[in-house]
Amino acid sequence: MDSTINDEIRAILSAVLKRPVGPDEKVVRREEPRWDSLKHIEIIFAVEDALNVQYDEDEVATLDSLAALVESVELHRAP
Amino acid sequence: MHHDIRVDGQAFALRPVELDDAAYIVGVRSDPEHTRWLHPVPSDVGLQEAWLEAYFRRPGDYYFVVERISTRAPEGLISIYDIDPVACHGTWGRWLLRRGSLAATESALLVYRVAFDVLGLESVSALSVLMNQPVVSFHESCGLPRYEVFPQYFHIRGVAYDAVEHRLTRLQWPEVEPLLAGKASRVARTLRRERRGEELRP
Repeated sequence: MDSTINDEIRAILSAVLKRPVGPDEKVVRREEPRWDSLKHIEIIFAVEDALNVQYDEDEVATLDSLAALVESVELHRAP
Repeated sequence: MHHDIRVDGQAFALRPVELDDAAYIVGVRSDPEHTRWLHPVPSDVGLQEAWLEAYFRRPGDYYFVVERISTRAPEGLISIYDIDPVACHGTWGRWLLRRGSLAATESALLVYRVAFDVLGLESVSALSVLMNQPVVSFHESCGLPRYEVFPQYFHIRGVAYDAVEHRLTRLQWPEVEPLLAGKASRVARTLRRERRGEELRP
């Protein structure tokens, strides 16, 4: 897992969910009371802007954890 | 009630529910994703049609299908009901979207536009099961304050649940609208980008 991508997405989650996200913490949507559908698109758009990726509609629905977001950015950037 | 209110956003629209939507409504309301916080409904289209016939005669109740403008495909349901013409107040709810739908922000935006711009209400409430955290959080992410908590208000499958009311007034609306409109606009750009990609594919 790319640690720079991980750190950037961790920072985004912390800013949008308005809570600190620890370095080894797993963040999963179903366990986050504040990760609602409005926050979800805020997270997606912040990741798109910060990491220069573009998601399609079907992907957006599946990006429901820190791990899934990191993996998706890595896949989008893969040669 | 029978109404002819249609409001278009950038990617999604609200159009009146019709009798032909009965099977769709049964399907959406039977989705296990949604049933936990809903009163049980008959899985029978005929009974749903009977409910709709009664709804068409009920004043102060505006039921909509949320549909995608580009395809006219339904994305979900939403309504404004219990309109108090004296207080100029209503409640919005019956809000269900298909799994993975990106219509949440724009459908909320449009239902507030119906409430304030079309129906001329002064305030509108959303009443949610307090434990239904994603919905409670959505209203608070939109900037709506908690107005009141009603203990043991909902009784669903024999279990009593507290309800929380979020309320938006006409005075507060100009602060909330840009937030929802901005997000809805970005979602619409995502969907347009995707459609262009499909059109370019051989």
